[in-house]
Amino acid sequence: MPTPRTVLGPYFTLALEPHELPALHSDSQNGAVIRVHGRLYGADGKPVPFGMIETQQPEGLTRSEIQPDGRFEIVTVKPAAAAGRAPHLSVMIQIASQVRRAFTFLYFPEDDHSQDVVLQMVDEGRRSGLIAQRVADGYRVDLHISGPDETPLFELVPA
Amino acid sequence: MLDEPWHDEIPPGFTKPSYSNPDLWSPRSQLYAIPSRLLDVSSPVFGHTATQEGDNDLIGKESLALGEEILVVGRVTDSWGRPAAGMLLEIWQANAAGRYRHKNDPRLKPVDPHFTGAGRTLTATDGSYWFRTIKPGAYPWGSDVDAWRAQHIHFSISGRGLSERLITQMLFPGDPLIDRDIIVHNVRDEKAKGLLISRIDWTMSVPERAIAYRFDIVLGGTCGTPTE
Repeated sequence: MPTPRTVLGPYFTLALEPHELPALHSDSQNGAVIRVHGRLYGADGKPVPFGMIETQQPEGLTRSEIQPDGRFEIVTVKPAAAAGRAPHLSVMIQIASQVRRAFTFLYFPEDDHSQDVVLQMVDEGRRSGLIAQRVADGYRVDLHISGPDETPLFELVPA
Repeated sequence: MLDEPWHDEIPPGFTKPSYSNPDLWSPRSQLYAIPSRLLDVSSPVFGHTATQEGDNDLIGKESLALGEEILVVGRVTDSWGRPAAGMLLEIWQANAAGRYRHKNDPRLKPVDPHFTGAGRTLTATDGSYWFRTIKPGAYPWGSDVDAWRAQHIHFSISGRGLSERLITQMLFPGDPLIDRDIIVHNVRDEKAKGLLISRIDWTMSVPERAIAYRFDIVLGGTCGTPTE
């Protein structure tokens, strides 16, 4: 029987510090830094305070803190594409006061998504919620954990 | 797993805290089910940042932290009992007075200048790990007279990627606060509740110095054992 999950609690940054992609300070990555920022909203359109967003891509892992105003910022490089997938960040959202974490995927506006097996599973009208917008200093994507603009979320099943 | 509640329910008799908004923060739409290998497709080649010697010692060489010195030991395995080697364990906890050394902890309890309360380690090839720390004091979470968490240490376990993430907590045997603990209350399965409670391991204890508490961790479902 697996060890049960619990909430993260309010003090997780004592051990789980936010960090950008670890490989960023090598010379080959300096020109390629991207910032993906946004806010996490609840069903009432108000920000969700406190929690963390972790991302995964072939180049490594990042962790961002969700601030009291719901804002987060991911500092990384544009992910390489993998077979059957458009370039994307795999994302885990953990609200500090919740037990379950939410999984989703973030895509980039300049890429062709038509062959991405995961994005094609999502109802057509909801796909845009997973595609970031290009902004002056990088990319922006607002995430909605609940409500009418709810971001498409995923549940992992074994295999 | 798919119908686990998103949020903890506050047990009857407690005042609901203002920081939590379960109805507004729980997804309402059906989640898309995907096999975890679709997440693993983008698993990083590189593992975690290496830990350094002493990262698993929250007391440090000077040993000036106040409270009961303890060892926390255990093994991380998957559901089939196979050892989970090379997993990153990160822990955080309050000091002996029940105060977290964090800007968000408002309680007027003393900070211990010799204790930060955070550590990390990698599991060995047999999945085993150990930490040296002090036993955390009980922590009040709300305004009700009995709104106290059982003494606990927070654990974060990471494998190669997001599908191998676990956030959990270790409790201490015989703690009278376990009966009213809101975290324990929300673990539905009676047998599973027991998995959060450590037990004294005399074989790992150090005479006249430290009692060892064993907390074995079993990764379930999509948390597979990392290969190589």
